[in-house]
Amino acid sequence: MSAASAGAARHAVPAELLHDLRTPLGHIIGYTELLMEQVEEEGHDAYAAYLQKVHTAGDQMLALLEGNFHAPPVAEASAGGRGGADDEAPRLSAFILANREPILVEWEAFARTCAPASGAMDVEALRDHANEMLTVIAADLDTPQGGRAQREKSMGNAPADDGVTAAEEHGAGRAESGFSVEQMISEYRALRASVVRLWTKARGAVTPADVDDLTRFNEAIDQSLSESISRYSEDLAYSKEMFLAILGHDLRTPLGAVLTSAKFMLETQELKEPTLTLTSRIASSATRMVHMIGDLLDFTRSRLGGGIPIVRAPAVMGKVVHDVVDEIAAAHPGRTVQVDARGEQKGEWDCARITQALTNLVGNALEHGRKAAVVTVAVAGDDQEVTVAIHNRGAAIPSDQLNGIFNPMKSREPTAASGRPTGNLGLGLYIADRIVNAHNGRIAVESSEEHGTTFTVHLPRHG
Amino acid sequence: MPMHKLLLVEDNEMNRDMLSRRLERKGYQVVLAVDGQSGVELAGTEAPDLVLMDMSLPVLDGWEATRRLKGDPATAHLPVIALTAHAMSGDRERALAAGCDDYDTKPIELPRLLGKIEALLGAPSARGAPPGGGA
Repeated sequence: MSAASAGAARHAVPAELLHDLRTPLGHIIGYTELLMEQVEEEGHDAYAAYLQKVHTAGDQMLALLEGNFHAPPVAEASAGGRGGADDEAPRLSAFILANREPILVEWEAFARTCAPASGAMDVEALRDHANEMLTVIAADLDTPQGGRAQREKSMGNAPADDGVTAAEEHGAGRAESGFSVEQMISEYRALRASVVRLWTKARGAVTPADVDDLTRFNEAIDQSLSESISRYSEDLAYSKEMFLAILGHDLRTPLGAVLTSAKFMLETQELKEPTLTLTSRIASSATRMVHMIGDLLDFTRSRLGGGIPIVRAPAVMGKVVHDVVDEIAAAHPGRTVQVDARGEQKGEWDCARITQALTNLVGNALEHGRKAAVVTVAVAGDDQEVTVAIHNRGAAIPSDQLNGIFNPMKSREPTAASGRPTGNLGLGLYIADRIVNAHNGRIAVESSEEHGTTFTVHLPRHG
Repeated sequence: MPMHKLLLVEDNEMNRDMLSRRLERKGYQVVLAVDGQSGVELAGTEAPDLVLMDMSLPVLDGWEATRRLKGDPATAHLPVIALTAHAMSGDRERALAAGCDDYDTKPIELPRLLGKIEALLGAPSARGAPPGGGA
């Protein structure tokens, strides 16, 4: 996968994540509204307050998801910087410096045509960057350079500067104000075109020295463009991940309110059908969201460079697996998950993390396995390690998808006709893999029509 | 007035359960299908009055299922409301191009969906409760 397509795929993740969270949230809201009607008819005022709380929390979460569907800006772009040294340089550089105003007027007119309709950063601030870039370019044209420096520059490898360049600031500003890469490139094209048009008009006949100037000018523009794009991409990726982290965090409070209220209602042991089933479904959807948001936060944490921290403590794998399966089975009525545990089960692991990893794997097996078939979880232990093998029947994973199945960008397979991804949160496998890796273990996958699909987690007993 | 029969084509078990319960409370009879293929078949055999079609379905997706319904003289008259989880621009146009009569997004706002169902059925249905109870 090329760097460019990896970048594009990474940006595709957030929208899908938010989309996936909407499904259990829709269940929570729908079942709650249904229950509200029900208890009102039956006159169960005691539950009405809890349901109202759940409903309000559901609306809050929906507002968070919908209001934030488009990634927000990050840091303030600092406009400004030092002014350029206006010297009496000949030719193109002198021309640029002397004609800043008409060049910028043309450029600004163009920038306005491609500014996003909503939330556009003011063109004046970006004009400062363009002005600054013109200064830098003009100065560059006056600096003698050998053939090698020229080649390097034309390949985007100019020596690193100590500070942030005007072009980088420009890229950051563009990312912040929601410009697309194409729009930003168009701006550079416009800047280049204004300079060349105005200059050739002023010069009349073009001399060999002019050609050299033009070449260097083009290279300087390319260098600026490459700096802007690089900074733009970094900022965008960072802001999307930071945005997800913040969103995940914001969702936790209302989600907690949903879970607490639903659990309270269930704990009264007074609920009759269908209220009991409906309330359990609210609780299991909320639990599902808790897991998804947990994965989401871990995803952003690992992407933002934090890794997944683990704290080891003595544990028995058979018990961990049974707990996972009990919770998951409760959320999947009508499905069967069988546990088979044998051999030495003890070791030192981060139980909460292993629970999270196994929940993802067993959840996947239920989701992608044939509905009528049993999912089995086999735990085995030897001297070195404990293995947990999760097996389901159903369509095989195509062999070209097995490679890289733990990559969050690859785990989604678009449906043939709609071109839209199906299935669920593609992060589950990625997080499971990261957690097992943090325990110095690994996950192996085998899949065929004949034998079904098995994910085998290999965990060393002790780090 | 006779009870209207709706065919709900939806692969997600909870969505199916929730929406069918809610629609039944509002006085509709609901027939369920879990994928596009069985949706097309049931539309032929169950003679529903209207189809609620999820768009991302296994086996045969909602877009193709709708095209088949609209391409078959036996079912072409059935109103189809597309349900998608994507509030993306363009989905509405795609749904209408596939032959859907209307379009709604998830999470479902029941009063809004009921309004669309009633508009397509041509008359308000018998309703157990006012829309948007307690919201």
